[in-house]
Amino acid sequence: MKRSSFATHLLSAALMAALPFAAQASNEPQDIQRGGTLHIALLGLDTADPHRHTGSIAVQQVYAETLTSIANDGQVQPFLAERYETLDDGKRYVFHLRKGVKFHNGREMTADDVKANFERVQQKISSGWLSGAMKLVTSVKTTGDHTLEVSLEKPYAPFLNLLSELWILAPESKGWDETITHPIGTGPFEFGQWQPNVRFSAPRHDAYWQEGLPYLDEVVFDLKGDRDNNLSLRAGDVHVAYVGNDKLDGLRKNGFIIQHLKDTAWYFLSFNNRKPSGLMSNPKVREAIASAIDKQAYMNFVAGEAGIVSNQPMRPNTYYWDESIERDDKFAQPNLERARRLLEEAGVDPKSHTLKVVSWQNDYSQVMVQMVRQLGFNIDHQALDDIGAQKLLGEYQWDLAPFHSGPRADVYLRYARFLSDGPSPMLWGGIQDKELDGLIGTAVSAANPQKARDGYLNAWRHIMDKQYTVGIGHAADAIGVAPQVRGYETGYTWSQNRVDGGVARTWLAKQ
Amino acid sequence: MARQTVKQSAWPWALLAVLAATGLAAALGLTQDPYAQDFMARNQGPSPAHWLGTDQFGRDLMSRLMAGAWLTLSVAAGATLMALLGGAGVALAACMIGGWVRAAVFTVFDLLRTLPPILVGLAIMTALGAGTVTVIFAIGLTFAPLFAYIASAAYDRERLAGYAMAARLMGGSTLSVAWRHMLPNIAGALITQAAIVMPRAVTTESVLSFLGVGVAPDTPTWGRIIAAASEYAEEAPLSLAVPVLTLACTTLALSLIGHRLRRAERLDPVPEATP
Repeated sequence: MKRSSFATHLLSAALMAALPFAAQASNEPQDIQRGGTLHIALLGLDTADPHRHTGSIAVQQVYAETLTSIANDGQVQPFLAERYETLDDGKRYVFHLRKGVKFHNGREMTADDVKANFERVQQKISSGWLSGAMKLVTSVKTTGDHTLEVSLEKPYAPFLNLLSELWILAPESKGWDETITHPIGTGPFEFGQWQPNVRFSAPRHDAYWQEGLPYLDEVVFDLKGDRDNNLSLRAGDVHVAYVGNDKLDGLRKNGFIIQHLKDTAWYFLSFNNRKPSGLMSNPKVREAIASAIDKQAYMNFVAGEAGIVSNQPMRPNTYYWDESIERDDKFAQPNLERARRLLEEAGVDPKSHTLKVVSWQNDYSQVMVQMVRQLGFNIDHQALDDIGAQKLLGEYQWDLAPFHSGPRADVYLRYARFLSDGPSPMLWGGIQDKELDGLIGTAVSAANPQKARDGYLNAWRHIMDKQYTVGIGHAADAIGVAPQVRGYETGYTWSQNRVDGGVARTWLAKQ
Repeated sequence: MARQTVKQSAWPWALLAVLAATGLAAALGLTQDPYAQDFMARNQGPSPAHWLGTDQFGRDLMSRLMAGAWLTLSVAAGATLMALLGGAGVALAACMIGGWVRAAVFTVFDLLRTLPPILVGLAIMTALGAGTVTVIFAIGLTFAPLFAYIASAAYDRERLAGYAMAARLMGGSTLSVAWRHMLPNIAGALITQAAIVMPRAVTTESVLSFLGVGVAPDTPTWGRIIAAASEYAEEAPLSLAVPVLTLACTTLALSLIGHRLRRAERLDPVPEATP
């Protein structure tokens, strides 16, 4: 078993916390050079209020930390919690918090602070990644200055993994009662100056709880997002940047190190499921479009040889992936003849229809458009930035949406988007299906890993049968790292600060 | 004094003729499919199969440029026509009505004129969404004031001309005098202005497309082609150089033609020839 939830349940009574930190102490390089500013260009920051985030997690973890953390191997580990215990078959959790953890305002973090964060998310955040989990929380009690007990209505397998995105902030953070505008966290860097979609600077937290860390004086994130990071890296404007697959060879030749995220992004084509047009309500039309997709060519375009073809949301050879579903994929190979026959059977003349396609501005969307256009449809393609695309998707006046979804801290976070009341469901066409909700619910509250796996796979089979979305494949996102950067390692997700890595352990060698 | 003639060169007309012919050939489907992708031939240089090479999708650059000629020139022509009809039409109507209506209309034109064309185009595209018709509307609106000023100046001049006054004395209404007598006399100036605006419309369309707010991403307008090629300037420099040169030569040719028409219409003061 590679995924974490149940392994963690079984092992959680053990004292896990000391291991990564002991390893860090013994492996610390001797020639570390302190100081300097690390410039990073990865993904954006959608809000200063971490509890309200709906976008990426590539920035906020440097100033706000969590009770648990997803380690480089994808396993959940204690972080601000020194250890935790799982009791009553997963209905009760006891967290033993680290002592001496200081907020950026100098005050020590206590169990009351953590309780306040649980309550804020539970009471003030109506939708989002954590809303499903928080609905099940029946009580949060402090049993000491550094001990917290959380009770759930029923077992909830992804709970510990999801806590890796419940950021613990000081309740005196500005805007706490509504929207936080200046978060006070415990991270290795403080919330500095934020210019939305332009720049975010995070100066060093001198009283960081991990002794000796961070090495850098400051981390600066470039949030513009539309620049060619390949050129920015080579020009020396940034040290660490998200780069496209087609630029990797050039960067390597120039001495840059290429790392990949440890988990993959999932590529898919969604249909409008909430308000489908008459044409797109026809299963044969959906099947015809799925038959036109050349998955291998698509993934080759996205990531070259690193592209993985798969019809499932979890990448091949991981616990929640199933070989038989892959083997039986009737859309594994493109079949234009079959697609045209299906349209004929459906009485559809594609030339008389215009399909509305919404996407980000990634090149791969043009590949999808061309594959569908081969069937004879006219295409009205709107390629927008993230905010524009989300707005248009949320209006549900479209037919097709080729997108990708980054690495997730837990399998549940893939499936949460398929729920009728899931977070940001528009990327998957806003599915409203009570039967599917039930199947995912069964997986989430399953008593053992095998039953959880069966539950998730049943949910995915249901999604495939209903043709809500077409799974195409997986590819790991690539990060270019400048030669003078030391100690930087990509994680399982986009997180830049975690239990066993990130910018707290990064330093710059003087050239 | 003999009217000064600008030294004539045929190449601007020849280039336009070639562009029109290639654009027409693309529109009639006589070229390779400009949308067809070949992932085995991405960013390749010139070859017998692809005379100008391919782009990052393996699409034939020459057929995309030819299709782009049709799209870019037709959008620019459409926008220029819209600016002419809209700008001159509204301005003439306002002049005929006169009073506060004329003042109000020209305040709007003044406001539009003070804003950079690209900014106006971006604002309209953002408000109305992408699409060929929207692009034509946005660019047309941007350049409408230029025709409005020409039309109002010509109207004021011609209104006092003897033939116009005679027509009015013979019982002609304001509209019929303007339509039957004055419009033919100011048409030349408006057409000349159109020739001057056209290259600017080409450039504006290309910039909007380059910025990604024009037509759909895979539509082979020159701006889109340049924007896509600019990301691969190192790997495939020809893919960038050829459309940039094509755009530059086209705007130069259109500008020269406009310049000649402008002089022929005596809209510019022409320096005396040095003996």
